[in-house]
Amino acid sequence: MTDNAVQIENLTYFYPNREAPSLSGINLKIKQGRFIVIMGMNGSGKTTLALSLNGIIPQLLEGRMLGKVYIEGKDTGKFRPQSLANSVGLVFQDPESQIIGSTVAEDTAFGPRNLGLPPEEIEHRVQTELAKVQLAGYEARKTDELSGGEKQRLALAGVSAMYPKVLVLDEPASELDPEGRAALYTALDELRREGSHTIIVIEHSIEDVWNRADEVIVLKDGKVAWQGEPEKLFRNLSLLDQLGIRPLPVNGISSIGESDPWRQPCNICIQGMEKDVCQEYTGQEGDPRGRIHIRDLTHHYHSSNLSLDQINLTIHPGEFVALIGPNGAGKTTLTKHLNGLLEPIKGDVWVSGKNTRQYKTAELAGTVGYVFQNPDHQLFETTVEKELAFGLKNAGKSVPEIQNRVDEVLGKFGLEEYRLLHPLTLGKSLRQMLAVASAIVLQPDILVVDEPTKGLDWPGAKRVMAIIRTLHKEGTTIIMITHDMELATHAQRVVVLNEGRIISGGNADEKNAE
Amino acid sequence: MKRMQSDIRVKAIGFIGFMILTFLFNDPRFLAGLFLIACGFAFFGRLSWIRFAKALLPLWPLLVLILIVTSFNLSHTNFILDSSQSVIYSFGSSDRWAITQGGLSLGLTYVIRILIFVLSSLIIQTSTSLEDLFQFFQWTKLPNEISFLLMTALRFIPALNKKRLQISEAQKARGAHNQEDGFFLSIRSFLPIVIPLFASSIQMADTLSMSMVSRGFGYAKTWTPARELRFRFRDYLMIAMTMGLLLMAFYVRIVKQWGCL
Repeated sequence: MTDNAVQIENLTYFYPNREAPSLSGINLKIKQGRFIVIMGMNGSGKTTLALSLNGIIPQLLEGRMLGKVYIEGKDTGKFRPQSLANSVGLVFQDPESQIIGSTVAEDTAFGPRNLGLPPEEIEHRVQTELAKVQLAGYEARKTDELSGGEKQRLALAGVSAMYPKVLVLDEPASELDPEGRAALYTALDELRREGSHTIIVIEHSIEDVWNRADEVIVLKDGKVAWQGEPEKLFRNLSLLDQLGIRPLPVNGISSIGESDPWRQPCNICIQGMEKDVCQEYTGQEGDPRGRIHIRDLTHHYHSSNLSLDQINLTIHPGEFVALIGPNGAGKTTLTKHLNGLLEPIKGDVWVSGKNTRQYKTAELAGTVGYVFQNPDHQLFETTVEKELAFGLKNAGKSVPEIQNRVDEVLGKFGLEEYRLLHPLTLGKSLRQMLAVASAIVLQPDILVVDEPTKGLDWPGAKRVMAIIRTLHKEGTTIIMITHDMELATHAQRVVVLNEGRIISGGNADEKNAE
Repeated sequence: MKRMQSDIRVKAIGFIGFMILTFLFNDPRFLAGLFLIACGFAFFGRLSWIRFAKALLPLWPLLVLILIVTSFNLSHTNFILDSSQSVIYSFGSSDRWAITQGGLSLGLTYVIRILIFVLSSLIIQTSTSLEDLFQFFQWTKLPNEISFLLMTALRFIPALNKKRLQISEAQKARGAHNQEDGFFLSIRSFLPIVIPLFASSIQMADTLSMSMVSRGFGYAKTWTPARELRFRFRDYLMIAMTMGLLLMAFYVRIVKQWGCL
């Protein structure tokens, strides 16, 4: 048992009031110093397994656990999670919810202080661990001023400062842009170089981990469905499909769905973002419905520098545009101008011929549908059908009309069987579908979707993208914000933003004017 | 704002002393003097004036209302000084609806008092780290768990506010009207924001508690303090100055009868 960092024997776990187990008969042995990747679809038991590794299951969460978990030889059922803290560290998905200190140094010191270490030792650990995650010099920085990537690296430093032998990271990069992901994995490489850590990473996306992993474990329905070397898994496309895992991208072009004649993948643009080779859309002039026209749009927030700097962009009716760029580039700021959530400081925005300055957001809801990153921010009703009816009621539609529209949309999105269920009892991909459906029920000319597949497994992502493509085919103008370069290939045009400016994919006439 | 390096206990004593002073006097000129002193602290502590203005923004209708009501509502017999009893303007022939100098002055006093409260609270809030606050709670012998609970609640106010804004935007984008006429309709219009906010908060609290336990919170009954609270010379000096100022203020107000209306 001693050369195994983790040993799991016949682990089965039932959440309270659940008849089916979330983990069932798991047996694993992980040797010290290994880099293990755990994959699987949403609800396959990945997070439950992570929580059982540091004793939160069964010590903190109610439920029924059978079997044994040993970390560095310690039975997690017999030690409090606090006592296991210097054996195993757990980094959660959402950096916001795990940062406790108000400054970077304060937060990193939190764990070592709990252990009652002397101040000199704490200071040493803070300095060395922050350096490993490229946050040296950030000690006095306020934690709420950090970027998403910096927050997640801080969360990693806070855990590694306790010198755990085993590090478990639950989808640590899911909130990050490619730059943030790269920095996080570089930090993990630094920790791994020391050779003393066993690293277990739960991931949906394989790009960052396939060449780092010693072994991949795939969970399905709470059981180990596959275990082995990454190459063996990623060369077997049918196995990947069977396990619901996204294949490695080939030349940056996705394999979501079948190919369409309208698809013009901008692979060079996506891979390098150096040349503007994206296809120029030549839409028909005339009917303004679905057209977006942005002229000299400038915006800045009170607390920061210029967020948008004289943006000029025309999006034609029925066009599918992907908006990409690093965090803070201005993508969300730009799209929030489309439905009046933000008012231009300078310049104008027209959607379907309406100047957004002259309308309230609620009045534009029937013209521009907006689906935010987190579907749970908008779900509040007690049933799926009531959730769909909410927007229609706001728009003052009659009861029969509401009923007809709700029935129609439920059918279109394949949500009929869930109509009487509480929205929050649905899985993540169904909640995302419901969020899109609740925007579409108002029959908008334009649909803005912000990171529509974030946190979704491969089948869920395919399902959401299929519905977005159907809507596009039916004539809805689609604006999709994404960090996923593969996803961006679904668009007809990729617009790249950086530091508040369009650096690629703008309209040729505007570029000439510049 | 740059952290004022004084001991948290000195800040607390100074804050309480300043509050006593603002209640001791009724004359707006004295209050204006105190306000200027508070502005001085804010200036040296590099408090953002935009932040002060933002904090006052929702209060201005209340301040105007206080000024109007107080100016009209007080009879001249309420005041000790002859100058305060003089009528500035009268509606109609009787003094029933008259603005007295004392009433106007008292209205100004109330307004400046609120300004001082807001400014002083902001100075304390922005110049004190949560760690210092935690040390202060410990010094007052508050149980560890409650101290940490208070500190965590304060730490997560900005995060929850960010969530509230995100939820509010998501609902507006679906055509939700944030304000509706009528008490019950108004409450109903907040449900689309309150329910997801409540769900998010529970989720956040859940992750936070798991994260804290994972990082050893509760490992032992005590933990290593970031720094020991220790009075330095300038802290004693600040306490002496506060006490001196208070004694002088009591003398001026009670013996000399200055600062009343």
